[in-house]
Amino acid sequence: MNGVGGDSFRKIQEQFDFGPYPHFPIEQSPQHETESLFIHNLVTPYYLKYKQLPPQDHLIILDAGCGSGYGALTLAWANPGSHIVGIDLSEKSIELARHRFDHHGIKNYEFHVMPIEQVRSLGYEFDYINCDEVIYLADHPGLTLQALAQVLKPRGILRVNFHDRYQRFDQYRGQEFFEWLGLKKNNPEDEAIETVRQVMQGLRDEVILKKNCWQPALGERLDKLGQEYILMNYLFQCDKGFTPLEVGRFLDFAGLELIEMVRWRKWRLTELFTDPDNVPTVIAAAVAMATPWEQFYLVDLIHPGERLIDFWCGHPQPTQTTQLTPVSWIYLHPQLQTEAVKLAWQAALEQRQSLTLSHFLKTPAQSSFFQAHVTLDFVAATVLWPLLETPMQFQQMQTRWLELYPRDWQTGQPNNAQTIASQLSELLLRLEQYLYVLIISP
Amino acid sequence: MKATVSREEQGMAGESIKISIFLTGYLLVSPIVWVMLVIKGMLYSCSSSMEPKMDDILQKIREQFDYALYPRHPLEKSPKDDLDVLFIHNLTTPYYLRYRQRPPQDLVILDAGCGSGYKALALALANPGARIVGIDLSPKSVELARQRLAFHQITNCEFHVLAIDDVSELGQTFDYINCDEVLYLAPDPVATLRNLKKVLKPQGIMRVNLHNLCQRRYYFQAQEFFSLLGLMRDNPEEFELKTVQEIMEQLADRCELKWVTWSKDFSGSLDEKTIQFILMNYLFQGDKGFTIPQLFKYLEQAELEFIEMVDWPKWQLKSLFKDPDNLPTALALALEEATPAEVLHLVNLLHPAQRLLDLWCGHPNVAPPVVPQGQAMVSLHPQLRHEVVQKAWQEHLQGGRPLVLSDYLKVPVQGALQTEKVEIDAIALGALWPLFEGTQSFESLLQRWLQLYPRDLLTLEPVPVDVARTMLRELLLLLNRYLYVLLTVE
Repeated sequence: MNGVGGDSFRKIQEQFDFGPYPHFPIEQSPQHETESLFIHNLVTPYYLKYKQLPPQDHLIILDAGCGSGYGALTLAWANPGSHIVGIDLSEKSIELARHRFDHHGIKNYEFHVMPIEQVRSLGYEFDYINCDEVIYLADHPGLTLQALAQVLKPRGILRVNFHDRYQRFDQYRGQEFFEWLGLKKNNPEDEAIETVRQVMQGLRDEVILKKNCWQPALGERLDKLGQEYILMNYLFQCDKGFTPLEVGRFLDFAGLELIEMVRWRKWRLTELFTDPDNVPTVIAAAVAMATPWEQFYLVDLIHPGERLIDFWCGHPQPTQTTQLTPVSWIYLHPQLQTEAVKLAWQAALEQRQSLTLSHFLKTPAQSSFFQAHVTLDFVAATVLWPLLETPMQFQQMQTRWLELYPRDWQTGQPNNAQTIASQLSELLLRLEQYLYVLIISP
Repeated sequence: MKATVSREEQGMAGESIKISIFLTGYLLVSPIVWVMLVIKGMLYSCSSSMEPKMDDILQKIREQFDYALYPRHPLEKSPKDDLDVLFIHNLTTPYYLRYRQRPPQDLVILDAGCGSGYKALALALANPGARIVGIDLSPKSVELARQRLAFHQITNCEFHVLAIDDVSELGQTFDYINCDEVLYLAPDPVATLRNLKKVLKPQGIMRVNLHNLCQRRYYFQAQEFFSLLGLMRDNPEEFELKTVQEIMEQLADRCELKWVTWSKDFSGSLDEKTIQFILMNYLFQGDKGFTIPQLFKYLEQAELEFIEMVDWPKWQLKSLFKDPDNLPTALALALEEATPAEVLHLVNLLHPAQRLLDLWCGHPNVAPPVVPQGQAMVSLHPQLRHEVVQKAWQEHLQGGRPLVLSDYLKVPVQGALQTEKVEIDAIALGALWPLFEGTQSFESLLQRWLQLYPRDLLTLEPVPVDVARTMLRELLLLLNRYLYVLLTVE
């Protein structure tokens, strides 16, 4: 097993010893970063695949390439009670990660300095593996994925991401330029960073590289953030870009199967069109016939808007589809069970107004160009209100609806249970598309 | 005497292949056939090991250009007043850049991949008296090229339907080979370069160009996209064109491909302009992009020597910086040891604005042609000895007003981000006027200078010969930098 070869190994290690990533202050907490918690919560991908909630107790979660531990901390917040294991090449980063966990009073963790390819030596099998902003540095990503697959439970889920070659096309030109200047021969430190800054500042503003890949607000900062911006973009050791087709092949190699893109609506070809429901026939035909990776590739060719090809995958397992029956349990997504949502919901009830759920959780509602507005009208808000505290069965909700609104507002006739049921299921299925509610069938 | 150079800013628009057009016919493809094309396209993408054979590629290219002749300039259009086009096609320009001499007479020039002959016409007009030989794969294009040159009464020319790789069948060698917008379609560019080199005279010069991968990458991505949709399986015709147009129109405006490459001008009815744009960009059969290191590797493998970029002012690294004379130290140091190819690569990494990597090359290590040593001679670049320039020169001279020479010939002053302005005052206009009659010796120009301006204009003291000599030399050296005048020893 030799996923990261000797030379790349050393370069990556040196780089992150010099600048542990990310540079978030130790006291910063992801507690209110709903979007990030949504992604790090195992409930999200587990539900997408199995239409079930993940096992509740004793989750073991690996952060592979944990850096300074901010992602691991997010995993801990998003999955309360789980055991967090973090590994990284850089000793300095691991030290920082331990401090970070101690600072936040989280005890159930362990951190190790080790390459991902040796993760088996820990003797664990994981429910969730987060491998974020790492694998594009590996010499042989297929082998690294294989190593991770070997420590993933049968129904475990792995999140991985690769840099997108087309999105980062200009950035790689910048890296090549500074590599030619000899700045990547040794580990790039202060002097190299300063050279990049001088060159980029010295360029005329119309120069294409500067127009497309230079944010003066970051690049001209002299603090750690400015340093990190230049390092992670212009002087990144071993940074490589990939196409979705290549990524699909790595997964095949490792015997893994795609579950879903993390920001899935951004990878739908039809969403790039003015009218997604009415695209040219040839596009509709392509979408119908293409494999998921082919579709992502088509999206990437014409709109390389995402820096990361960021997805969940797992061992090949049958995918479940949503089934809504009278005994189905309805949950609010855990990331909507927050104080902020509760306050807004309460206010909506008191003022007899509607409630826009997509204000509180944007990731599942965002496509490349549009942000869907997912709103509960007042009636729905009253019916669904108990979900903030506890899951409910479909038939309970139906009963609650009938109790709250026994009669039709226009005709004054008693409401028909049948009509209510179909309205309710329409509402729930719509919310479920955005994972705002989860529908669990026994 | 005064000659000034100033800079002005210039917009930098994303360049794509744009051409003027006239009409062609096309065939319809039925929707059923098309759905099959889609399926074939997807299957094709799955089995990526299926490389099309070379014969297929040539066949596709031939079909493409038989279907849509290129370039689509009307027969009567002539580049005779387009000094910049003529400047590039005039052998004097690269010949002088390489040898600091003027080229010999009785040239034989090959236009390799001549298409419908517009560039061959430019070659004929830029090199009066030269024999023009044009070859192309597409019989229809060659036929049109013949008609075009006949229309313009150029008789010293011949055209053949012939693949470039078979050029040695002509049994001729050439002083200048123009291989424009062709090489990026060749299945094996090195082989093609070698075949052209075989028919290049020892001191001959060849112009070749490749598409720039970095500048054109969105078009290559689009070609891949439409090819996956099955629109490039057969030669694209009306159905494919309409489908591409429909997709581009219906994409959201913020979709990158659309806002980088598409223009509202191409919406609506499928007119000739749109057809050409789609064919030569989104659905271009066999189109490929290259980097500077690749291009120079090809030259090396074909044993050809780089002379200069055709649009050399656009490839100056310094001009990309706010303060060109004060580059960051690490960069300035690195540049001291850089080869020309490396500098070009760096420019392209920072600012890939040119669609073409367009250069002149020749046999390696060629000694300049031996000419009898004589005296310093001065000529205007032949393209400046145009009646329009001469008339303006005369008017400005008589009116005592300075003339902006760079308004007439822009290639040498157009940088990547700015255009320089070369202006000469009335005194210089008067001193250099005899250049319109032909080449003059430096000494005769100096004598004229002394006759015209014997006395200092302020003090009325006689002008010493040395002072006049220095002023004239500086004027000529400045104009020589832009090839507006050529300085030779003859």
